[in-house]
Formats: sequence, structure tokens, C-alpha cells
Amino acid sequence: MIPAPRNMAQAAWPLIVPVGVGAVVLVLAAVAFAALEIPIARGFALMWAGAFGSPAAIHDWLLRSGVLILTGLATGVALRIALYNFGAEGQVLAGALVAMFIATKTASWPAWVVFPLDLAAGALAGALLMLAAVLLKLRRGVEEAIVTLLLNVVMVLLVQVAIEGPLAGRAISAIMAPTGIPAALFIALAASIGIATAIRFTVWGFELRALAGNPEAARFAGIPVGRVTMRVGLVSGALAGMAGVCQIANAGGDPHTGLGFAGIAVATLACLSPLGILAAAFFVAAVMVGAEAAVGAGAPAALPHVFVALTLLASLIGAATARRRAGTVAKATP
Amino acid sequence: MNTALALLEDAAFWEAVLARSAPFIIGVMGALLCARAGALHLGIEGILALGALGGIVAAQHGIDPWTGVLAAGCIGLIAGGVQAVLIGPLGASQPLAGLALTLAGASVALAAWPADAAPEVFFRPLDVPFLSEMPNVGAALFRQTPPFYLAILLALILAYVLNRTPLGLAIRGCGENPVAVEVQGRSVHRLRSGAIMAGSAMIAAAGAAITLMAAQFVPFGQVAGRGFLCLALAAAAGWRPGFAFAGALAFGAIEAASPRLQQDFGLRAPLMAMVPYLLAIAALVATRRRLRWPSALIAPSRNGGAP
Repeated sequence: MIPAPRNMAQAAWPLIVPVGVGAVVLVLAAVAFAALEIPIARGFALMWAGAFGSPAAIHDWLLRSGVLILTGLATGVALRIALYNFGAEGQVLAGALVAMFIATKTASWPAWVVFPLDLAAGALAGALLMLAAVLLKLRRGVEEAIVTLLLNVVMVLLVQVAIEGPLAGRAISAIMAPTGIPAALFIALAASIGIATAIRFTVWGFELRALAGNPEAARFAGIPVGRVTMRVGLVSGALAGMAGVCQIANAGGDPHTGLGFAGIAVATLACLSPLGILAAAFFVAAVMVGAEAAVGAGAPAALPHVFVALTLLASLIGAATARRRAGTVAKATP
Repeated sequence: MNTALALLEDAAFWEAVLARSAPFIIGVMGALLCARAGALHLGIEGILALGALGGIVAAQHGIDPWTGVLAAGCIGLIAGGVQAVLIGPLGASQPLAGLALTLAGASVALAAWPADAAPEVFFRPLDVPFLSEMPNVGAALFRQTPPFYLAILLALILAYVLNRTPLGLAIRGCGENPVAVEVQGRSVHRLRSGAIMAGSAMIAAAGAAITLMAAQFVPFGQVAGRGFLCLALAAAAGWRPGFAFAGALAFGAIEAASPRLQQDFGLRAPLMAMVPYLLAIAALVATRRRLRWPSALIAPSRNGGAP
């Protein structure tokens, strides 16, 4: 079994660390612009305009924030108990795929009927995909980190099959208005507060915390480790599935890649704290949406993904520095 | 169906099988070297992509292919060093650090991937005198490009070093019982870092082999996902060089046969591309409880890996 990541939520995590990580990411973005021979000021101006420049841009940013909160929660809640759900990417696509199929059947239905239906179906799809990985882990001992990563590729290809096949020639339009505050954000806020409350005040959360703190002790205390792992996995997959639904329902078109992986960066930046994920997602979403605007102005298409990867790397190093300063290095080793 | 079977009698098919499996062989050997030293290296995917980028840049600029492979190896060494620092002195969790490296490597490689242009140089088949004239197997075995021979050589050396030398024993010790290695006066961190860096260099070389063995432009899509496949293959082989070698050959065969199978069965390309990943999961499930894994895999190397 893969041991837990250093229990980051318990280590000292002064606010200075995520703020510092954010600053480092912006500096690295400046370096990237310099390397691409885009004037740095112009690069940041493009990013600013892409994230906050117009009502449509702000809508995009808020939508992305909502989606990233959901995928960040999906990764974060699983990582708390050392369940390496690196498959949020695939689960997002599973949710998106379901939403796209429903959209082709329900074109004339009102949004307030379709959206909840979409959400339920997408959550189910994501949860089932994660359930497969969790069951393989529990029954066969197969590392879920590897299986979920492989399933990501499978889902990308499956989406490609669907777009070329049954969905060919069908433009999936958004069922929500592209202005104002996207529904995704409300769902994400509710999920975030819900998860934070559940972790603190429910039996589910108590068992999760026990398992996160010390799996051996939890086992001896009679906590059904397998069942708790399965429940957490289901919640994790469902959250990622809903993220995919929100993306399709609010933005239409094809599923966006990189949302699940960005969730991993969000969760790490937030040190796995459900409320921290809220703040981290707004930052990562701004960077991502801003970089997409820069792509429109001639930067390489993978630039947003580069920035997300840099955020994840910087957060890991930041977390290590915080642990070192707090002197919890040796003690926190799982 | 008949045409699919006729493939097995086609000498060109067998030549393609061995050629296609060369990058897989190099990649799985790199992955299993890291794992035997106790590091589950999820950064493989990104490092392979960076190595492939090095290869394709060399190919399009007419740089000698061996220089391309060497440059890719150096990129791998550096990336492996980053991973070693992340999980060693910085104490980051192995899977998260590896994933960060994968995302960084793959996205940078995708961003810098050159436009469609025919490569100026690539590895040409090397004719082994006399042996390549042998009937049936001659052409397939002895008219391959140099990376294929490199792959065989690397596999043999790695199997020998891991299983028959004191260094190999120490590396396996890091994966099985780091405390015992530390007690012997060896540094687990240093051994593990060395294994990760050497393994990463091999993985990057595997990426360069993919781009440098093709006579035409290789799109990024043909490289993406290969790293995870190598990792899954090595894992399914219980991190044993012999089984991993056999698995790499099998995946080379799938890759070589897929255009033909696609045609015969009328499958769409992405559907066919899914097959190796599903097979890798199936192989992992089938062998996970049958082959023992290094018992200290993913244990932190600080304090000799003591919990």
C-alpha cells in the first residue's frame, strides 16, 4: 500500500506559503513569457484581460474556478486518506461525456430540468469510474495511482471516439447563459462547505480523519478501512464527474482537457484543506484562463498546462519548506 | 480474420514488432530500475516526452541521432535529479512529486513540439553481415536500427547488474529493506537518487528512440501516454527485467499489428489506441498478487527509510 503523503493538513501551513507559491508562479510565468519572446508586460496584460477584462472573461474565470474547486476537492478529499486519485481528469471527462449525450436527447427541455439530471448522471459516471480503481485497490492490491492514470488516457480516447462517432456533427451548446455568475460556482461552494462540514462534524468525516491520521490505529479502533476508502473514493469520483458536467453545461462544446490535473495543483496548493481549495482554485483558474487568452494571442497551446504544472511543483516545494521550518520533517514521515 | 493471421507469416511484420518494442524495452528497464531502488517514479511520462522532444529537435535539425539520444539522456538525468531532490531532501510524497514532473515535462514538450516537417536524420537499419542473410529470422533480428540493439544491450546489462553484482544487491536492498542498507554504511538516499537518475536517463532515451527511429514526422500524440504504459508494464512484470522484456515485446507487437487489425476489423483509431492501456490494467490486475513487489517501494529515503 502506498503510504500517505506527509500529512500536510497537520503541518504548519502559514498563509505566507501559498501566497509565496503564487508569487513564484507569477515570476515563472514572466520567465516563460520572456522565453517565448512575448514582452512580459504584454503577456500579463493579456492574462489580466483574459481573466478579468470583460463580463464574459469574468464569467469564464468564475466558471473555471467552480470547476477547479470541484476537481480540487475530488483530489484533496482522496489524498487526505492517501487514496491517490490521479484520475480526476478521466472522471471529469466521464461526467462531460454523459452531459453531452444527455444534451443531444434533451435539446428542447428547460435548463432547470436538464441540469440536475446532468449533475446526477455525471456524478454517477465519475463515481463509477473511481469505484473501479478503488475496488481493484481493495480486492487485488493494485495501486490506484497507476490505474487512475491509465484510465485517464482511456477516457481521453473514449471522448475522441464519441466525438467522431455518435456525437459527430452535433454542436453541444451551453444550457446556461454565458453571463453572470455560473451555476458551477454555487455548486462548488456548496460542495466545499459541505465537505468541510462533513469532515469536521459527521461520522463519515471522523472515520476519514482517523484514517488520515493513522491508518493502523484506525484499523485497530474498528474503523472499516475498506468501506471508508470506498466511500471517500465514491465522493471523490462524483465531485470530479460533476465538474465535467458543469463545464459542458455552462460552456458547451467539447470537454476541456487539463481540468482534473489542475485540480491536483489546486489541492496541493491548498494543502488539502477544503476551504483552502476555494481560494487556491480562484488563483489557479485565473492563471489558467489568463494563459488561455495568451494562447489566443499566439502563445503555444500548452501554455496553461505549463503554468498549472509549475503551480504544482512550486506548491510541493513550498510545502516542503514549510515543514522544514516547522521542524516537523522527521516526525511527519508516514 | 484470415488477413490478421496472415500477418504472422509476414517477415516485415516481425521486423516492425522488434522495432516498435525497442522504446518499450528501454522505457520499462528505466522504470523498473527506479522501482527496485524503492521509488515509484510517476514522472516517467513527462521525462519520456522531454526525451522525445530532444530526439525530434535533433532529427529536424540534422544533428547526429546518437547526439540526440545522448542529449535526451542528459535531460533525463537532470529531470531524475529533480525527482530525487523532491522526494529526498524535500520529502515530498513520491506519487505527487512524480506527477508534478510528468505534468511539467509533458506540457513543456507539447508546447515546444515542432511543426510537421520530415526529419533530416533518423536511425537507419544496421545490417549485421552474414547473419541478416539468414532465412526467415535473419532480416527481423539482424536488420534493425541501432536503438534496438541498444535496448537489448541495456536489458542484459541491467538484469546482470541488478541480480548478480554487489551494486545491484545494494539497489535492491534500498527497495526491500533500506534500514539494512543503511546499517551496511551505504547511503540509501544516494543509491536511490543514482537509480532514479539512471532510470530517468533511460526513459528519456526511450523517448528519443521513438522520435529518432521513425523516417517520418512523429506527432506528439504518438508519444503521449507511452511513459505510463512503460510504468504499467514494468509494474505488471513485478519489476523483473525478464518479464518486463517479454511484456515490452508483446506491446511492440500490439503496436505493430494495430494498423492492420484496425483495417481488418473496421475499428476506429482511438478505439484501437485504447487497447494497450486496457491490457496494461488487466495485466496489472492479473499479476499483482502473484509477483512480489519491493517491500519498501515508496518508503521515504530519509532516516534510511525508517518509518
